[in-house]
Amino acid sequence: MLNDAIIQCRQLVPEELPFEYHGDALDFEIGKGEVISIIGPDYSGKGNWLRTICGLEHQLSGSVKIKGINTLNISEEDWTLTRRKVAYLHEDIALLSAANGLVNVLAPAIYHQLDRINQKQLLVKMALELLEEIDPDINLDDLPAYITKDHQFKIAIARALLLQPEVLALNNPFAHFNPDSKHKFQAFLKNQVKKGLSLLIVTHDIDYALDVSDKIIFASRDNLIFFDSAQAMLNCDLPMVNQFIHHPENKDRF
Amino acid sequence: MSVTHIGNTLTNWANTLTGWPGRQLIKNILYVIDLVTFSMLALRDWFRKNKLLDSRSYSTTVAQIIFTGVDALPTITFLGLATGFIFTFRLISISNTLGGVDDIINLLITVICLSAGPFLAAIIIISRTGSAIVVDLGNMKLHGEIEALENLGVNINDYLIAPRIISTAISQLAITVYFTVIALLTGILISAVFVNPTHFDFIFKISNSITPHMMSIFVVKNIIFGYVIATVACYNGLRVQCSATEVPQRTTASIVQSLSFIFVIDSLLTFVIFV
Repeated sequence: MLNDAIIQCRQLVPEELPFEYHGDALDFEIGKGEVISIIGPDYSGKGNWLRTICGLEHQLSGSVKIKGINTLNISEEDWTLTRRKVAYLHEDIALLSAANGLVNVLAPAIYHQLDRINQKQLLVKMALELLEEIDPDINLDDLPAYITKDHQFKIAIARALLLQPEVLALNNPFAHFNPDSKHKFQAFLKNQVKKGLSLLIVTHDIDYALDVSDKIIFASRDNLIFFDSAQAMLNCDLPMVNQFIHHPENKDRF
Repeated sequence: MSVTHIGNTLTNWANTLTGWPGRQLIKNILYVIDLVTFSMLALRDWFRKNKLLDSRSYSTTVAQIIFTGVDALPTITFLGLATGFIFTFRLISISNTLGGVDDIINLLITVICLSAGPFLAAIIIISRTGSAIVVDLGNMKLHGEIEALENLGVNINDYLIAPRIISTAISQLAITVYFTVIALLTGILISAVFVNPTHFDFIFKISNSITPHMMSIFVVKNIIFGYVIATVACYNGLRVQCSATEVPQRTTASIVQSLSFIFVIDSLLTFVIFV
């Protein structure tokens, strides 16, 4: 058990899984700088597991604690705190349509009064540096309607990271990327993890998950299996796991 | 068919007929309670997290005031000039026929300052700002912008709702003051130039006749109007769920409800103040 766990899940089962689930509950923790991937066949409720772990969906059983705060019956102040500590983004995350790219990045930080701590000019500098690191080609003057989907997602990442979260929870983040920009973005994420950011990620990219993950959660409609390492998953002799890893094109069969 | 059956049928009809207005009344009362709770929660969140002149949603508030107040000035100017010509000028020019100057001044203050001004400004705000707020919030909800903000710990009441309510109330007051001044000055100037130069005196007579009591009625009425219009618009905007067709539906509902509320509130205030 980690003493400095950012998220702790005990006997967790999501309430909003789109099918009847009779498998195992989830017990796990995520500490600083860890990467945990959730992989599995399509329509196996991976997104529901992720949102429940982040405290955004109700749990059918068990508990989720973010920085020691139980997400059940959470107060408004604690909600604000947990949202800043665990940033959740899905592939089609929306930006403010009436604001340009830079304002989108700055708006939540200004709302949380980070400009009081860092001063506005410094905050803008931090935002621009972050965006430069993610992708120097993003046009920050345009409204989101005129920005490509992958750039919108990168702006959303910058918006979340400017709040200095401890965990970045990403649901299918590479959906809108071409292979080249995907590799650059993956390198950016790796760099952030080196700096201490924890990553909780639902992905269809099995090679990426096996490459970067410290722990892996395999979710199917029947059961959920937690692996302590990528190697443990590769060594697993359960047919459904084995078949999924080695024949991902057959993943819909589970 | 037995007599009992006919009796029961008649009783059911009677119950339906008398029950309908009751059910409508209860529905409307519950809706008003919903609106009041909604706006109170929004303002509570805003006042809990912000100081009046040091707000984290300062830019939203200022942007809304500019849109509601400043951008509406050409329309308000036109309406003020027209009202000045149609009402103020006519009333002043027939002042000799009607009787005492004091009666005309009272009439001008009651009609232009306390009735037509707030009412016309409210109609402009309902059609411009109210509808814009519903479309804005409705589309934000539809496209997941509000959910994305909430997931970053942004309180929507504090960031989106309260600033709109506060700034619409302020703007309603400001544009009514502007409208009233234009409407009165236009009528007095036209009357003084074309009918009788002594009519310039109306400017001083009217300003001397405005009592603190009238001033407070004017301020309270306009703030209530702005508050209600923005609350109804925000409430309807956030009721959009998942279909784009809901946006125009909620916009129409908001306009009709706001107009109804303005009529009812105006009548109630008139009854309380003048009866």
